[in-house]
Amino acid sequence: MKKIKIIILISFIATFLISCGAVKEGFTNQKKNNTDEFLVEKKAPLVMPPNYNELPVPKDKGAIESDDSGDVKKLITKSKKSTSSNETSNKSNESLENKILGKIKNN
Amino acid sequence: MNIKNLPKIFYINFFVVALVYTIDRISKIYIIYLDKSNLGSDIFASSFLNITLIWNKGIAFGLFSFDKNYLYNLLSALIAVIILILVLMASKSQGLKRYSLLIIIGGAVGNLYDRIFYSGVPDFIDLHIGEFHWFIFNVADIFITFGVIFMILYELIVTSDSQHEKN
Repeated sequence: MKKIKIIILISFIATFLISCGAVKEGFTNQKKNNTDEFLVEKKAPLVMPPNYNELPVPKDKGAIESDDSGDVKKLITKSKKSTSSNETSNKSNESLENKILGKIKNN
Repeated sequence: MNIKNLPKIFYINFFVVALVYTIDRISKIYIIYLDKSNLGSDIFASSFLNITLIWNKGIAFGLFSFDKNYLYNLLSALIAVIILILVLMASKSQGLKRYSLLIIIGGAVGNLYDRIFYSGVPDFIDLHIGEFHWFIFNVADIFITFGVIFMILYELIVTSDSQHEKN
């Protein structure tokens, strides 16, 4: 009788020292660890922002550089210069022609 | 008390406890490492053995797994007291009883360490025959169980023999 008591006592003490868990616990934990595919949010498709049209239209770099139409004075002076230079070039061309023609006639 | 003056038997006892504790610790560290690197608790599965990591906050068979901290700490303190009693018993006993107690102490210390530092004991050995699963246990539990079996055998065989001799 005494032996049975001792064996029961040993077994009782052992339950405190042993730490084995139920298999069910393992399966429940497994589910907790894994990501649930139904909880994953789908990414929304790309949409244009609502105030997209209100944004200023970007300008070309080249267009910005050549854009000095506001300066009227410059434009006028430039055009005058260009016309005078054209006239002189025409005159020189004519004189050169005449010279060549004269030389041909002489020969 | 000088360490050099300690008896030889003390070192042998200490070595047995340390050996059991180390084997248990290495197995737990390795399984936790595998669990982290595999990103899941299912590490190995076969027709009779699965390695599945679970954290047991209670005692044997998942009993007394409390969510409240003070109850958990109370249980850990109780286990520490039981270990101290076992140490006293081991120091007074001899032969098979002493070694079975030392094996139990080594395993119990391994589990107590996890209870204190990880707030739960990692269990990972899942033996099963078909669909019938036994409780998931660890290496420390194996040592404790064998220690308890040896203790019971000692009580049944050796003690009865000595009683017969007395009569």
